[in-house]
Amino acid sequence: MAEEQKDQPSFRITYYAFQGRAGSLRAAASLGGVSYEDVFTSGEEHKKAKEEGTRRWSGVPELVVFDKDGKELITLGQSNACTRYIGKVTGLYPENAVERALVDEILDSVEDVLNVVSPTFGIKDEEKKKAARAKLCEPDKLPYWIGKFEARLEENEKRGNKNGYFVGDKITIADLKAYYGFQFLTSGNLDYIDGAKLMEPAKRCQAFVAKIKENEGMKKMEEAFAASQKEYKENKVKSFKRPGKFVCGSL
Amino acid sequence: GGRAEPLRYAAAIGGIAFEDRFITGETHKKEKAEGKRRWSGPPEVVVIDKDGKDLVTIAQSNTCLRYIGKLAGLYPENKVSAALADEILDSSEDVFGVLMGAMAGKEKDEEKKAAAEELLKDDGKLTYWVKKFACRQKEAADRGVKSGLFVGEEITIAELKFAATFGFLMGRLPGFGKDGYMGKDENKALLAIIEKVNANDKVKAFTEQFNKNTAAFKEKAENCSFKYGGKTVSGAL
Repeated sequence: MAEEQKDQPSFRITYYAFQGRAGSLRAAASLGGVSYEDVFTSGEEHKKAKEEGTRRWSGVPELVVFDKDGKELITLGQSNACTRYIGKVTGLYPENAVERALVDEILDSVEDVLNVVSPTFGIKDEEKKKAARAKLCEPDKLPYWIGKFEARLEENEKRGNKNGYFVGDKITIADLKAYYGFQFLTSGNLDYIDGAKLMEPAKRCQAFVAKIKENEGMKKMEEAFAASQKEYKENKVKSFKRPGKFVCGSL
Repeated sequence: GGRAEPLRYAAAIGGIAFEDRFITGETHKKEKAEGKRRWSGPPEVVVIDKDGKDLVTIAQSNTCLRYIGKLAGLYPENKVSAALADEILDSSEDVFGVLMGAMAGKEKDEEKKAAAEELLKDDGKLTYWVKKFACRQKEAADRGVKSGLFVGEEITIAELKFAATFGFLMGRLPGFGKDGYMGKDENKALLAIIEKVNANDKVKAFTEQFNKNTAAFKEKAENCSFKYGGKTVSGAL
């Protein structure tokens, strides 16, 4: 039984073969040392699932939680609901109610930023897309939001927390969510948006990103993830088991 | 109503003392331009410490709802149950987004009506979401939950958020009300959840006072702060 437990994922994360909205889920599980299965899906697969009505809500990621016998207990959706669940089982979600609220604010606000940009993905006319994305770079849009994230880092610092995280003095799911949010803006994959220029005035955010990038656990996780992306691309392997301790769910 | 309704109801059900402060759209716009908004919009919750001083201002309606809900005993302890509640909170916001997206730039009544019809077609965006909420309710019932609610036997922040969101839509979106889309047989169970929230004794008592307060505010903008009695639950960092 102990052998079976060793291989048993605590949960299965289903998402595309890039970090995106699943980055915070995978990172939380990895840094928290819990076992999980990382399953890659594709745009076509997702479209089909959605049309067949099998999507939990509207999109991915989805999280299948396993029970103590390794059976599927339930499937959850909504990236922040999933991130918070994983945060709770890994200790990356604080105990203090006010600190939890500060973490939740970051989770919600990163989603707001993603939702500000996402309507522009569907614009087919290049000129219209360019104009729409230029609008996002006006002072009351993305720069406004980045300014807020910068302010949150400053406030945490002023509370006496000197480690450069968003909440408290230890890494939390807020940091992981924000990190991948910033990666989304600066990856260079957003045409007509100069992410580096947007982040330029946000010195604390830049230091934060560098700090998370250098985190040993994050480096290990990203290395394994890159290897998985290669396996997926070259050999069409879709499922990857990440080792760790088994943490089951129950209702 | 709107995004603060579930927060207010949660505090009321939990018997928690709070101050309800009203602002107008114009005031918010001005304050936002001055950089005074915590994030992008209201509601905002100022958490008070044990000495009665402002500890911190938090925003993001679901964050505030979860915070108040936790104090009020309306956020499940079980991690999976809590995730089920969290899903409803996030999906309710997604529904707001669907509505706002469809109504953006539509001024005339005919435009709004046409947009509403589009949302409520068989393969319409809102139809898709309503079906998902109906699935969540049915799954809970299939798990043995007898209350008809989304998570467990008692009202949680999930039902408060859902009722406020759908109540808002039922009042604003042509064809979506009780005499329209939400009155259909397949939406009976969802309608029952909204009615269960509205029938809660503490919600009813709160709403009666709230309506008096909003009338007073309408009369004179200076009447903008209202205190509700209850137990004081302070915050700490």
